[in-house]
Amino acid sequence: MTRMGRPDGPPDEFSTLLSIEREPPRLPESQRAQLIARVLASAAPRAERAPWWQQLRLRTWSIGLAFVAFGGLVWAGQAALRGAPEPARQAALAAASSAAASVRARAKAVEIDKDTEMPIPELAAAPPVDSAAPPVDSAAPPVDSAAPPGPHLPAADTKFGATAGDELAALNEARTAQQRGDSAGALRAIMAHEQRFPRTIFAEDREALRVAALGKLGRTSEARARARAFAKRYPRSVFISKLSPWLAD
Amino acid sequence: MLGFTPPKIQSAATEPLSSADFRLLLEAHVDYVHRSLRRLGVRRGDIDDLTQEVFLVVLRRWRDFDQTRPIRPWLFGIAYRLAIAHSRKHHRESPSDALDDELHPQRDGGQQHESRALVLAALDRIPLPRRAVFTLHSIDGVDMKDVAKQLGVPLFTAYARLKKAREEFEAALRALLGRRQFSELVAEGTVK
Repeated sequence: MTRMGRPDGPPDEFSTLLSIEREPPRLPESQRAQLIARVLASAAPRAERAPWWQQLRLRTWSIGLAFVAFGGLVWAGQAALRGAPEPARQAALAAASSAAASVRARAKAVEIDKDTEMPIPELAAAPPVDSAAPPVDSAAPPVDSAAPPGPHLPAADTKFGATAGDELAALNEARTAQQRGDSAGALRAIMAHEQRFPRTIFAEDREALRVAALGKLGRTSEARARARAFAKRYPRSVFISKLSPWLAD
Repeated sequence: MLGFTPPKIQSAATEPLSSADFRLLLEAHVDYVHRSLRRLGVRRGDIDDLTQEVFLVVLRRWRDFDQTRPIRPWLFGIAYRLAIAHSRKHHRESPSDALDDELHPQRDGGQQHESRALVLAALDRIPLPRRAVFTLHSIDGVDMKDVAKQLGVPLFTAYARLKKAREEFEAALRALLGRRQFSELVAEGTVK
């Protein structure tokens, strides 16, 4: 068995494992085709589907035309049989029966089509889109299976360790103070955080926490002003509902 | 390279997803959705059902998708919500599939499968909300702001979950590797 890391190995070994898992393995072809067919069949009523009266009209016309064509072929075959010499009669009979079979198959296909929500005849034969290449819009870079996996953490993780981790820890002090009811301490921690990290990725969280701390301290006008500024700056924030007491007029 | 272009070219944001675009999207991302559900701990027998559900939600909610952004985090967000609902509805009744994979690595064999099985087994030991953050950021490489947005949590919470999940992942992996080493020693007859 190949050893991929030791119990006391460095975390870099873990990131190697993660990089292997990064690009999802392709499903087995049969399972993939079945799954896609299933999703398409269940999705059809929600995707483009003609109104029922149009579908009914089209189906009726298709079936009617198929029967008219079938009858015409039978009639033409019988007429040919009546007047033609023996070899020609045999050939005409064969042609008519072949054509009739094809029309019957078509009529049957139309009947089947009526029962299925979305026809997917080419599914098994058609090659899947982008079978060799990774999707263009993938957020993660594709892993080159030939290249050895890199020993380093993803860039985002490294950044997390260097800056965001410190920012997180500092803001956590404010949050902990607020949770234990020490709003003044929370406010001090927030101001310290602001001085240390004027351009933080946690600005939204910090501002929300500040409004809460100000409100708890009874500085309602200040809390309201901050809350309004917050709502203007982060209109779709998850904190908006929590700040609603200070946003109400 | 024929990659999937988000169907904004064919379908404007205000229009529903056409069946042709839907099919392209499905072909391009069915593996990713399937794998994401697996990473989120959905049992193997239920993954196909939930994959189907994810794509039905995609059809229903297509107008909510910001087509200037990558689609995978959005798909993951849908998969995560469905996985949460599913786990609440169906309590886990059988041992973990991930552990089963780890113990019986027979499907694609080799080191890659072994690594993937280990990752899944370690992920399985992380609670779902933290696992979602960890998977989306550390495996899919999605920016933390997008992670927070797609999972509907504050950025601070997302980072806190990531930090905790990394610790849990590393601890789980160490335990799994240690157990495996022990099994190997038993198999070799070094330990009885």
